[in-house]
Order: sequence, then C-alpha cells, then structure tokens
Amino acid sequence: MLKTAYFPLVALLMVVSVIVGCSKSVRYGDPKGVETVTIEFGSTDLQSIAEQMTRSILTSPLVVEGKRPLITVQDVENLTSEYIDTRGITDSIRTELARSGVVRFVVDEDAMAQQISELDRQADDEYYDQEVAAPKGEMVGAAYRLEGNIRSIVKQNSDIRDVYYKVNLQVWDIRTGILEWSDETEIRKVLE
Amino acid sequence: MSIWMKQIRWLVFLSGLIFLASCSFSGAKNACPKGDVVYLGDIEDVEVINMSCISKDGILRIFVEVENTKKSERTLAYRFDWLNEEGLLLGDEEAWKPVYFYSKEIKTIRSTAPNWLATDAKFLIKE
Repeated sequence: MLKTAYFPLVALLMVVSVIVGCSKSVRYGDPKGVETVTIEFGSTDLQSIAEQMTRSILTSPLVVEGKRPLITVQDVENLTSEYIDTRGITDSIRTELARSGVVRFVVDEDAMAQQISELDRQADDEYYDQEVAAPKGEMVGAAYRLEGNIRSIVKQNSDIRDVYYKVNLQVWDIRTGILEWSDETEIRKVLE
Repeated sequence: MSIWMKQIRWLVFLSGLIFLASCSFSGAKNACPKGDVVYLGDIEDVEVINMSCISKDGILRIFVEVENTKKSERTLAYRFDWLNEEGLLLGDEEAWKPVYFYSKEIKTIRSTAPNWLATDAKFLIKE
C-alpha cells in the first residue's frame, strides 16, 4: 500500500531528472579559439587564411613604407561544393590590411551603388550646401585589384571524410595587367 | 711519425674547427629581444627549441622551432602576441591556429608582424 502511494512521486522525480539532464546550457566562447564543431569551412579557417594572406601581402614588394597603394577588392570566387561566405574572407583581409596602415582601399564593385547614391544625394542643392558637398568626378581609381578563389577536394569512405581547401589570392596592376603578388594557403581537415 | 706529419694533422684539425665554427655562425639568426614562450594549460611532450627574429624592410619576421617529443602524431594550437617597443600588445589578439605534428617532428612555425610597430613577440602554444 505504502509502495503504491510513492509511485507517482518517484515517476515525477524521474521525469524531472531526465528533463534536467537533457537541458543544454549556454556559455560564451573564445571567438579566436580553434573551432572543430563540424568539418565544414569554419571560423578558424577564415581567420587563418585572412591572417596568412595579409601578412604575406605585407612582406611583398607591393607594400613599401609610406607609398600606401590604392587597392580595390573583388570577392573571392567560391569553387568548392559547399556554401562559403567568401565576402567574409575579403572583408577580413581588407580590415587587417587597413589596420596595418600600409595600403588604402577604394570603393569596390559591391559598394559602388551606395557611393553613387550618396554623391547624387549631396548634389541636390535644395538640401545640401554645395560649397562643402562632395562633387562628382573626383573619385580616385585603384592602382591594384585584389582577387582570388577557394577550391576544395573532398574524399570520403565509410570511416573517414577528408576535406582539402586551397585558397589562392592575387594582386594585379590595373594599368599594366601585371601580376604583382600571389600567394596560396592550404588547409586539410579530417573527420574520423 | 715525423714532426711534419704531426704539424699537418694539427693544421687539418684546426681548419676543421674553424670551418665548423663559421658554419654555425652563418646559420644563426638574431634572437628575439625577449621572445617569451607561453605553454597554456596541461601541455606535455612539446618543446620550443629555438625562437629567432629577423627584421626585413622594417617588418619583424619570426621563426619558432617546435618539437613534438611525443611518440604519436598530434594537433596543437598556437598564436603570437605582437608587442611594441614598450612591451604592450599591438592590436587584437591573433586567432589560434592549428598545427599538425607527426611523431617526434620538429616544425618551424613562421609568422610576420601585423605592422611596423612590432619589435618583439610572445609565442603561445596549447593542446
């Protein structure tokens, strides 16, 4: 009789312990830490590529102290079979190079529409003082163009999945068409 | 053995010593000003053998020789903290980068400073 009376309580305790045991907690992590949640292209790959390529450009003859060449950035072409936000790679490279202060960037293709829109807006003398408004026809073209691509080779069997990424970047002299700098970096990830 | 033979042997020995000494000097790189190494966490069976710095065109380049003394392959993570003349950290911390080692492998990890203000670096390594 006593055992039967305790049965609902025991059942309730079991349900509560299962719920508590299965609940997940949230914590903050290191955004610069090595991320290996899945084998797909991740934050560590993006950060490593951006850092390695930026440092390589910094040691190239293209960058001479005080010269600060003008560069325009084109998106890194994604030639892999997975979705990769390649704009994130070029944005990171551009940010780190801009921080170094050795190069300057001009408006790229993606931001051109906003630039023209802003110039058009300022050209409206009904609203803007034309003495200080940015005039049209004074934008400066880049001397160099940064572009590149990312490729991958994926192999797998029943036990293992191997992904190899290769990122190649180039800087071209826009006037002459000469390749001024090029470098590549590789990443291999294995899921066992 | 004649006295001439002894002198020739002595000369050969001396020239060998001079040759070896010159070889070791020509391969030497500059030591980093402080070049601190930080082992983070419970990391075992890894040794930083050498850390050298070269300044080229005003940009500091660093070479760190790391040995995996373990008998198995492993992946470690490293990063550099770049320091200015006052010993202060330049910019943001770098991302941790994975590096793969074979058993007993010695690997040279190279990096370049993010700008001309870096005069020294700290090497951090963890499991």
